Amino acid sequence: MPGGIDFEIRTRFHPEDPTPEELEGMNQLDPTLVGIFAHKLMTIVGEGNETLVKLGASTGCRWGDTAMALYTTSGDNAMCATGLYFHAVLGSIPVKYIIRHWLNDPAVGVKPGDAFFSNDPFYAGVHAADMGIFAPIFYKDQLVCWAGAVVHSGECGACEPGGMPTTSRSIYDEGIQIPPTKIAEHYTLREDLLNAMNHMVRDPRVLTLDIKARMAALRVVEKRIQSVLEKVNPNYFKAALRYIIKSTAEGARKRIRQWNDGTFRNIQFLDAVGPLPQLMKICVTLKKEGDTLYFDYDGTSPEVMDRAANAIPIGIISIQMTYFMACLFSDLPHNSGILEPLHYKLPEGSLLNASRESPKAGSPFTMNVNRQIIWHLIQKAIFSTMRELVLAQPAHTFNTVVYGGINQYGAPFADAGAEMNADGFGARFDKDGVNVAGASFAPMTSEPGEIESLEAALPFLYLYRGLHRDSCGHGKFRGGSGMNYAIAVYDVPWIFFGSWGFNSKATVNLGLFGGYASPVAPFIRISNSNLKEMLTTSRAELPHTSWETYGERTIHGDYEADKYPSPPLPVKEYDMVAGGSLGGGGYGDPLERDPSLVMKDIEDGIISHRVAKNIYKVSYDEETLLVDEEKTKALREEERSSRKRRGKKFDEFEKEWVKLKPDQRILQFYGEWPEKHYESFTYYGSWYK
Amino acid sequence: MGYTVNVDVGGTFMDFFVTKEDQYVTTKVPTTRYELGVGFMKGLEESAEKLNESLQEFLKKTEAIKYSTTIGTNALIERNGPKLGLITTRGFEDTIYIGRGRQWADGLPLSDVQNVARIEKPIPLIPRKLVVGVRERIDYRGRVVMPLMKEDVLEKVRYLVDQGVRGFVVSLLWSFMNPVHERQIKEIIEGEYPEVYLGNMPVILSSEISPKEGEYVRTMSAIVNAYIHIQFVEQLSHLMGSLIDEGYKKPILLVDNLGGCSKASRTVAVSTHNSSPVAGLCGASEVGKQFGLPNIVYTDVGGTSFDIGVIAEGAIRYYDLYPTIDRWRTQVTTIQTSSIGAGGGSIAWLNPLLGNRLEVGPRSAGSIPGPACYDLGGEEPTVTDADVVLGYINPDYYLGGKMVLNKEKAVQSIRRLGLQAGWDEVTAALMIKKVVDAKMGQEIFKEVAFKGYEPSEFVIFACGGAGPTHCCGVASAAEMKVCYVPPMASVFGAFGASSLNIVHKYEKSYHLRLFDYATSTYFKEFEIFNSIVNGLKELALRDVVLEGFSEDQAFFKLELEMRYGAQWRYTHIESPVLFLKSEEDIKKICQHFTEEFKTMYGAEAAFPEAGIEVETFRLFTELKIPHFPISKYERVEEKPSPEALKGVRPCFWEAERGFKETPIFNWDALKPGNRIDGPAIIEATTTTVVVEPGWSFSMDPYLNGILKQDAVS
Repeated sequence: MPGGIDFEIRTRFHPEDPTPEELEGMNQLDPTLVGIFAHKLMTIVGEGNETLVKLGASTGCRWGDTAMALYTTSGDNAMCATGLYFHAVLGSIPVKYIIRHWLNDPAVGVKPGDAFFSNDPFYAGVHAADMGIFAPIFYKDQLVCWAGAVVHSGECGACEPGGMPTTSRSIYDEGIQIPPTKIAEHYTLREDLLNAMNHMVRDPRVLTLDIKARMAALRVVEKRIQSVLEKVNPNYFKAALRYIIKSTAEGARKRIRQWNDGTFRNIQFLDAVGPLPQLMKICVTLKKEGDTLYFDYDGTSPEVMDRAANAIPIGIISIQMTYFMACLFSDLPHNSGILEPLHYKLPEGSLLNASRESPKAGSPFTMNVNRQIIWHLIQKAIFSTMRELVLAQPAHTFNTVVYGGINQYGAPFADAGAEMNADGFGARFDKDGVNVAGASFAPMTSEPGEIESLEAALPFLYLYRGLHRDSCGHGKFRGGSGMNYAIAVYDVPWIFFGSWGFNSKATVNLGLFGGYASPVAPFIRISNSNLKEMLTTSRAELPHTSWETYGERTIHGDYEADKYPSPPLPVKEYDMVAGGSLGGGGYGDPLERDPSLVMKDIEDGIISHRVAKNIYKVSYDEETLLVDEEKTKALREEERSSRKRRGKKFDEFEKEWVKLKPDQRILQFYGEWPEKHYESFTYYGSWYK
Repeated sequence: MGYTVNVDVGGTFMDFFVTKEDQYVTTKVPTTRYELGVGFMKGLEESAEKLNESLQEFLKKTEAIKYSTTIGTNALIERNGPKLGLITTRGFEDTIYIGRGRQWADGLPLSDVQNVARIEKPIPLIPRKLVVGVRERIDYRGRVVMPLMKEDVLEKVRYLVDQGVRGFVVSLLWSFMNPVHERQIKEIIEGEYPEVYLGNMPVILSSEISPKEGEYVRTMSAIVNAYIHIQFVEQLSHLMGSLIDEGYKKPILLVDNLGGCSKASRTVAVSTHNSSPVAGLCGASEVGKQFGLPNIVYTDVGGTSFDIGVIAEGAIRYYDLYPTIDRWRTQVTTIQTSSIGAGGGSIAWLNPLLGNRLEVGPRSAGSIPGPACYDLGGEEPTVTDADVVLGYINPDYYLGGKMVLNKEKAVQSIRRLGLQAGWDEVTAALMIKKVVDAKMGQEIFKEVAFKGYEPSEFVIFACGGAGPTHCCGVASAAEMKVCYVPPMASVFGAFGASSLNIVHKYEKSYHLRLFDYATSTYFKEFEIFNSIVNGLKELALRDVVLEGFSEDQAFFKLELEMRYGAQWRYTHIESPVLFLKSEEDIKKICQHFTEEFKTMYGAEAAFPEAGIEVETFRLFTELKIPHFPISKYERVEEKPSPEALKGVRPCFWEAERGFKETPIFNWDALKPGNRIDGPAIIEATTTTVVVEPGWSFSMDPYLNGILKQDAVS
């Protein structure tokens, strides 16, 4: 019915069964010739994505949070060019929605030249800041496929600037949320609808530029596909799309088959519920059987009806692609075929299977904690058979600044900072992780940008930006370092300034095989300071790392030990914030690390003397960094003995461990302690007997 | 008139294209990477011999030498540059290690980095302990926020000297807007270590190498330049010494990556990177102008890589604003060329994950051991092996017979591959051809389409050893119907060098809102715009004089990098005016930008109301020098002379569903006006032209081979 919510459509995430005509066509296809055809289609969606990035204006365009995809006539994603791999499976639900609700609706219909806008997270999968436009592609009146152009546009008129509010109390605080709705007809944008949307956001310029970019990209792709259809039969085209999905699924199954069978379990904690420092648990049991993976989320904390932490299943599943496609299946096409061997059981009423009304703007937090768990579990399954793919978890991503106001040129602005694209990546079995490698959710395209391009566009003055000392997980091979920064408001009277992310209280990073987790990161606000005077008139030494900012407090002012996330507050010129992204997990016992590498890490500013002495147990001269090999050997032997003395038998340990419980004040939304078990579940894919 | 020598250094060979009036000789000698001057002199000797001159006589009569060199690239690959220290703004010492995050991907093909589990950042050119931060800060408008302190600078400089550095790179935030602090640091260093002392060392300022926005890429531009500078000076001095000893008295002109050349003494080392494909592209542009071809894709297929450059609407219009040199992203604007791993040596393999589908590359057998048919130990099947199996390449006439190929080895390698897929060796070879042609053709399509043009409106220039062998299949995949095979295709980079004028480029970033979004008004401070252009023009005039020309001989062109307000990416235009005199001039620039934007991305994408901004000014000055005139010959009859037909051999044609006895022609015996309908093979000493069924070949009055689809008589 009009206005009704389609609860069923969002469960249709896995590829549909082939249509009879697709099946018939597929039987006649040769893998090599389809490979050539697929390469051609990839060129086309690549051109579309390039157009999006070139013409778009939001920060999302800068870090590759864009996608151009082709969908089958059943709505399955067959071919995708993107920097953020979850887009390679997202987008299917809005297309399936259009097919179900509007294709045969006499008042709406689907015709050549139409395009449909959608940013309702209930269908689009993540949050309202992600906006897509989907267009049918016809060949001589026959619908052949769909194309979709998606960009994280950010600002969407929510209760906070930037599109990802942490203080929202229901979805109605989270800005415009439009289910698939016709935005263009006869190849012309509906100006009345665009005008209405522009009236509901803080930065209509960016919204409009991004929408125009999507339309231009869709038109490019449509033109190219029609040219292809002049040469190949539409039935061949449709069969080839389905074949690409099927062969991707078969490739994924082959790879999975190489891993160890078994059941693997891991839990991790989210330390932010909206802006509140509260603990939530996500629990995954992975059963790997033959060529299939089953993910069971029973034991996860319940949904929070009035705080932004909830996620919906397609977001939970799709975020896993940012690991699967970047590492495990990097050599397979990126499409929804990957989902075929993956099956999910999500408890109803849980944090990650939320209802319609609860706020969703914080869903990326929950999604990413879940991805960290999956990442860790898979290492256990692949270690003995595919060691070259083993990779400790990266930083979880997302710790960044959010801001809004009027910039130094008198124009409105509102967005999230590129600082989130500065994760350290995890260690490997044979080498350290990569320092400040990018955003682990979009490694192929994300960049933290350069200070000069940021200061040119935003009313900021950076005081420093560099490697974040001691932010990595330690180990025989350490994780990559994160990045720290401090930003002062500059050249405007004030702006709204806050932070986004989580992980200021409880880490969501684990080391591998004896390697350490990376730590948590604070976010500091300093107001009413003497910064201006220090810059211009004094010769005082300013802090040039966050350690110095927090620890030495050479700047005089009011310090607030805040956290990720922190809702945006009005902040005056020369008030400042300081924080940092984190590093990746370590691999192996730190006592096995080559002491010369420990010294190099000190020299490079990656670790402190405290860490070198207390964790790596290296004896050396602080000035010359010359290692005393004998003493180091002795220190390490001593630590090994000490570990044995501190060690307990597992039964003994468990007995004490299960008695421990966090303070009740941080378990307000946690659910039953220690673990909630559910009675009803939503299944994505099939489930083992 | 004397000789002009054009030299192009490739990975395997150094190419020489020596002209005198309308005559030319070409020479190839192996690249002597350890010391390019050795190969250079050898090539000159061989060229002189072909012209029946002694080296001394030849060089005495030589009026100009244009040199497209890889000295800089070699220094980076071999890491034999000097120990440098970096002085930067305190708090930003890690900028070059953060490397915009994705430094791990810079300079590597996608296939090497798509598996994130194995990525790695490159070993830095300057280790962290040789980077110091000084207390200073300038803001985005160029205002001094925090003044520089001399004693702080001195302390840091002394530390670097104690560490044994042999040169300083100074790169401070916003120095391109206001270089005052960088210049002060240079003065302080030079004051402390004046020229008379052994401790005197070069000081390179980022604001002088690349006065543009982006502290990472600007710093890397300065570091890379400093790193290769000394190697350049040493090798060129040595070469000049050898040339002077043999009688050459004129300066060497170095070919750069912006389609020009300049005296070695007026060349910035970093601008020579990638000059070879750029020279080839410029050669194609020159030929295109002569023949009235506005849209050309220049391609060069070698053993391991496939290079592409685009000429659209009669001009080379595309730049790489952030070219990667070795593993370092810089901002030394270059003409854009691209490259993928596909060539004669590319290895074919079956992908078990995707139903055993056949893939070609990116791994290559290189030249050692090379394709299986080279019989040098290579066993894996390559594109060249497939070409031998299909009958296209004559094993007894490879490189004009200089190298005999082992056909049986080719057959064996392809057969082994085919067995796994259920194909015989001929089907497997055909599949290899199809896949590699599609890969190269679709890359061409992408390069043209991504720039907003219709690929079908372009012609291909097929250069490099394997280019003409695959151009019909490549063109079909690129949706193009015409290919040109120039007579000097195998030394086209060196030919391209002969077509270059002296060109200098000057750039500066300056953010100007020509139409302001917040106030909906046009820019009024004309003086700011004009003073930037004037500043660039003054630099240009200095070089014009030092190149030995006068101002009235110089041609100036102003380009602007522009965008709509809030966009990240730029679109560049040629400014319709050099200086602003009225608001009308600003409107002209804005209008021109929007028109260009609409042409490239469609009217729907334009949004001038968002504001129109200029970010970078780029001024070119060009000084014309004499070029080699391409000779025109009389057309003769369509039918080639009987001597041109070398014989027949069986070649496989898919359209014919099997092998067919195919005529084999000798390129050197073909005459202008001759026409050959496919299927046919034309053998030249350096390449083999494959004329597929449905295509025709004709030789034009300039001795170019022109292949056209659907033109069978």
